[in-house]
Amino acid sequence: ADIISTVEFNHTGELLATGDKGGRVVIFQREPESKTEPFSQGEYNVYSTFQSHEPEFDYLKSLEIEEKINKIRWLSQQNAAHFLLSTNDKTIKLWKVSERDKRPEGYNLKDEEGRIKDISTVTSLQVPVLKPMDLMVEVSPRRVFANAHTYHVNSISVNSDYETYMSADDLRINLWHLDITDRSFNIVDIKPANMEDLTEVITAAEFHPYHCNLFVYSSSKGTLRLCDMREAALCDKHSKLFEEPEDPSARSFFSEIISSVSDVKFSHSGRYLLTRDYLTAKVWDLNMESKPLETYQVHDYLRSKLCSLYENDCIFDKFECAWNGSDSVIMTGAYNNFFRMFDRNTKRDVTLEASRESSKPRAVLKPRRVCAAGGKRRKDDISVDSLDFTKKILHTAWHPTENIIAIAATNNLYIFQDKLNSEMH
Amino acid sequence: MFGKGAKRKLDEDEEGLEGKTLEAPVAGGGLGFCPEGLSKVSYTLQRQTIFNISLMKLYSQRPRRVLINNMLRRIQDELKQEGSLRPLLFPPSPPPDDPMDEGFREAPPSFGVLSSTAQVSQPSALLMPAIAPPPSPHPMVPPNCQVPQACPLRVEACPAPLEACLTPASLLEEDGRDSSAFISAPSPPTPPLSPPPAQAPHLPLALLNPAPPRVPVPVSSNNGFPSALSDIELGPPTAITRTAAANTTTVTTSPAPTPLPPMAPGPTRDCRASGAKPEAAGVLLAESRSMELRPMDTLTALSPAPAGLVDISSSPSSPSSSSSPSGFLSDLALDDVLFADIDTSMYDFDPCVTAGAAGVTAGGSLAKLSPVVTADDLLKSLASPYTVPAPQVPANQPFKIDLTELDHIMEVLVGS
Repeated sequence: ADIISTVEFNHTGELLATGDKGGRVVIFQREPESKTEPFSQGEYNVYSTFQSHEPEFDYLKSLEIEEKINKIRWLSQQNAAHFLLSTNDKTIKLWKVSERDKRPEGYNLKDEEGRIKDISTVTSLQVPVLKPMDLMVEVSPRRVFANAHTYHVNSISVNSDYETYMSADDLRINLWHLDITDRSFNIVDIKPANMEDLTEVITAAEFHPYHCNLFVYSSSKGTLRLCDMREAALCDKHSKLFEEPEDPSARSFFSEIISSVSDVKFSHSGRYLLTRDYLTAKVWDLNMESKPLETYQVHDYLRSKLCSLYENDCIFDKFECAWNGSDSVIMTGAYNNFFRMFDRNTKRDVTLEASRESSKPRAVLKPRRVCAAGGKRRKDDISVDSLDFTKKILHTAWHPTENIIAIAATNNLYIFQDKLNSEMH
Repeated sequence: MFGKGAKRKLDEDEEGLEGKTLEAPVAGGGLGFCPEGLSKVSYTLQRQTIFNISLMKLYSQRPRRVLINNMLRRIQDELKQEGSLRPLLFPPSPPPDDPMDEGFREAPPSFGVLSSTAQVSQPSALLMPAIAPPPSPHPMVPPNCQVPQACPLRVEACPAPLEACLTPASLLEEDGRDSSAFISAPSPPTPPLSPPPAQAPHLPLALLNPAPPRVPVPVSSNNGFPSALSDIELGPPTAITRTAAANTTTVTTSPAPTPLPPMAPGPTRDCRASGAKPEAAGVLLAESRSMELRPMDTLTALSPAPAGLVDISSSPSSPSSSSSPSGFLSDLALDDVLFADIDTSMYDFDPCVTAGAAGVTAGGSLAKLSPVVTADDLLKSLASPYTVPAPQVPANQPFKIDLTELDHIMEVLVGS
């Protein structure tokens, strides 16, 4: 139940939220910089924990609805309180996270415990005052957006207009107003008239960071569709279709499955798209639909293992991907608790491991290397055959401005920080 | 499995395949032609393996099910282009519905519905293995029967266990067997049931089966098959082998007296006597069987199975309803006979699977029942569509696929 299923920084990076399989959300807060201990800067400590979703049962369809949190998205901060959206397979909830460090004292009609006083004992009037108290973080549900998804919600994304957000399931994308829970607008529907014709599903969707009319969604066939909501209310026709032609020489039974896009993210600049499929991460330029600008091999050594990975279902793992603050580095997960970073400028890449052994506090991560079967093996290399496929890093997040990353490795959350002034590594 | 370093049975068979075949470009247009350096044999094997795996996974969660479906469809197309559906047997028929989720069911790669005679021949081929193949080429042998020439080659070249599941079909097809024959032939439907009064005697029978190494698999799976199959000549042998095997299974795996053979002399005789039409026989059979089963409920821990049987047989659906999109069940209910048989097989299978016995069977070679996904499970899911969404194979849970079992499942699916 405590397997982490999503990780997300808020817009300032001060807060980090994780959701888990048990429907809980844990929020971490970055400690303010301390002058005495320069290295303690930026440590994240638990700020609040709450139960976001509970398991449910759909009696009409006789279906269990898991409480697992599929995605968390922060709203940009408008006041002292923070808001976030969390979703499981069916229901999206809006939560308010606020602090309280004062409490009123000195009511006339109530005593300190809140009990009504006997009127006869009230002989004088006093003015209630606010007294400081221990900081308390309150989390309260503000909206519940339910009953709009027939299929499983895989993505939510808050629009840059601060008023709307969208939620995507396997076949449809809905647009919501944050204040309205009883109505949403269907903006994409790829459900075929005859379900037997269904060959493709939506795997992820996201709004453009600046243009509130633009959003992108990815499919199980490896395509990305950019849609403009100004064109029509129902964006069944995309504005742009990003697709890489299949290389006939690399064709195999698994071509389609491994090309299925598991995550799509706009760059902070809004110019690029980062996608992840089973074996690669790709950067697309919004101005070029014909092929990706860059393709990074995440774990190409698995290419010869696809049949086994199909058999044990690993081939369906949905790895996410992330941009760094300046869009110059991308990060994505792999197996064996490894995660990969690719520097787009230097083309350098590195494999790092998130594990208890290798990541003592403030230890520097050692790059790891996987050697393909038959390849020359150096010391410390790990062979493909000894990779642990049960330890996978599916969810990662990058601080919006700094080189701090959060890595979810099953039920552990690792937060790594760049050494001062160093680039990658 | 991988990750845990557990040894995978398939590895041995696939080692070569994985390295070369799987990543090797699948044939110049991706279709059926062997890429250089890759023998047709191994390509076919690989395809069969993937097909089997896919079938196992068909009832997984939605998004991935679409991908799996596409995979199956693709293999199907490939086979079509090769002009032979032989090894894989899918009729291009409506898929089993997923009755949930506003009909979120996906299409084709279905096995399931025997929609056209031509295709029907495929399942029959698979069915045959348990039966002594008498050389009676039917006039209606479909054009694709010339293909058999490829079969011997395949058989020789791949002695691996893998191929055990392939061979029967091809071998049998070589014999020119074609179930369209059975179906079109006005055969007195001899439901393949010969009442075994005692269990012991049947062991030898099973062993007598002409295809000994395969006996366990096909035999048990044979249970899942249409009695329509039983054509005149073959009826009796089929029956014997079948029951024998069932019994043997029971005996070896669960020595307890509980799991009685699903059919007893009485009903069977009834069926034989009464059955002029397969359907009729089927219904009758089912009913009578369920009657017997009821008492057995008390005996066995398997009451759910018989119960299911009763349900199904008591709601006879005609063959024509087979393509009704309303539910998986009705899709399956091509023929009541099929149904009765399916359930029987489930019944037969229960003991060995649930008993957790390390799978000993008639032929003595079915010692591989996978503990993780049992045929039992699969069958159950087949029988009750509403449980389908519960992922058979929990995400990320590696499991072992046993080809023997797969084969069985496939046959059940196909046959039904």
